[in-house]
Amino acid sequence: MTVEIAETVVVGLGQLYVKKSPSILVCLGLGSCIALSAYDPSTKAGGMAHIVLPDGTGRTDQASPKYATSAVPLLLSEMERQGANRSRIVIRMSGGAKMAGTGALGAVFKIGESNIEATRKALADSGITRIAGADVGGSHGRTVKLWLDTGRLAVTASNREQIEL
Amino acid sequence: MADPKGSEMSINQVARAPDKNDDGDRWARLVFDGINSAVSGLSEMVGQEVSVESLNPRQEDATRVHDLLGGPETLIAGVYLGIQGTAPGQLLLAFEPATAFKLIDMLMMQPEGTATEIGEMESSVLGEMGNVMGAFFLTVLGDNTDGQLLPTPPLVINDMAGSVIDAILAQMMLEADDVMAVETKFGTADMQIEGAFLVLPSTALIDLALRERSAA
Repeated sequence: MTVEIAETVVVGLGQLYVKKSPSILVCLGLGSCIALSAYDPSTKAGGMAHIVLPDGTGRTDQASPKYATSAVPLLLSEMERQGANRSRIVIRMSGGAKMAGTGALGAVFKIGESNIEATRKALADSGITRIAGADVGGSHGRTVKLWLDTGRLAVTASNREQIEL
Repeated sequence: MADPKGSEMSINQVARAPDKNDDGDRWARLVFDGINSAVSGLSEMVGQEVSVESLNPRQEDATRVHDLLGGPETLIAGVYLGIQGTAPGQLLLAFEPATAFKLIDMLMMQPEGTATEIGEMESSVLGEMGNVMGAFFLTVLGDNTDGQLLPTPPLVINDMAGSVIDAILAQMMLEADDVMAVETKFGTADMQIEGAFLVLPSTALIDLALRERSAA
């Protein structure tokens, strides 16, 4: 009997990975960033994007997955390349916290809200009308983990119990 | 092994009268002087000799900066200050929570073990410490350049290192994916206090620091 060991892939800032079961995808210590996850229960293909900024308009690297506007179409097309059907893809998102910020520094930490908005808009623009689960906003850090063998997605935070989306 | 993306510099190398024509050395010397001044401010506040243990100016991939704080999930008590004035930048002072509690007890002249969480009062104490260190650091930088540099009011954030720093890095990633980071470790001889002081300058701030000061 062969036992396949699940590979854990850490999705770093601005990165995007699409893998097949039994990999585990994880975004560690999210603050204002968004972990956008996609999963096809039929093919057990799944992906995760670690979105840092809302959009890269006017920038030379605007196709980078660090921007919500490019991460969403990239994630969906990579999922389809792995055999996923767009109609079956389960979308979940987490992150977008405002860790702190009033006065002069408010704008720095407002980026979380902008990331949430931009991600939702980019999903709608790509024809995704249903977000199956979302744990966004607040003022705490999060770690997000997606198991591709089952599609289970867990969000842990330093100040509360783990939740599943 | 040498890091191809960065240069590690020991305090002695920095302190040994670097060549004035070398940009890296000028930046490192300014940062070294600034951080020494910031740490002396901390020493005055806590009434104990605190010294710089290591100082590593390095070009770092923005996605790896949280590793300088122990990794993205490491819990830290961070004091964040923006740099405003002639050129922007960011400063982050970070401690393990247990160290932050010791510092708070020292600063409030209360028995060790009294502080066990970071509430409003404790945040205020840490913020004031960040304020002093930031002001001391920026005074040295400002005095040695043509710049007027001031810290913003401090923000104290107690959470995972990745979550504390990602919004700060997002600002920097609007300029470039690599950032100039200065990682500093400081501490007391008995290791009661150990912390990290991260300097994350904008390109404009590095340019300002590297320009020779014009004659008065």
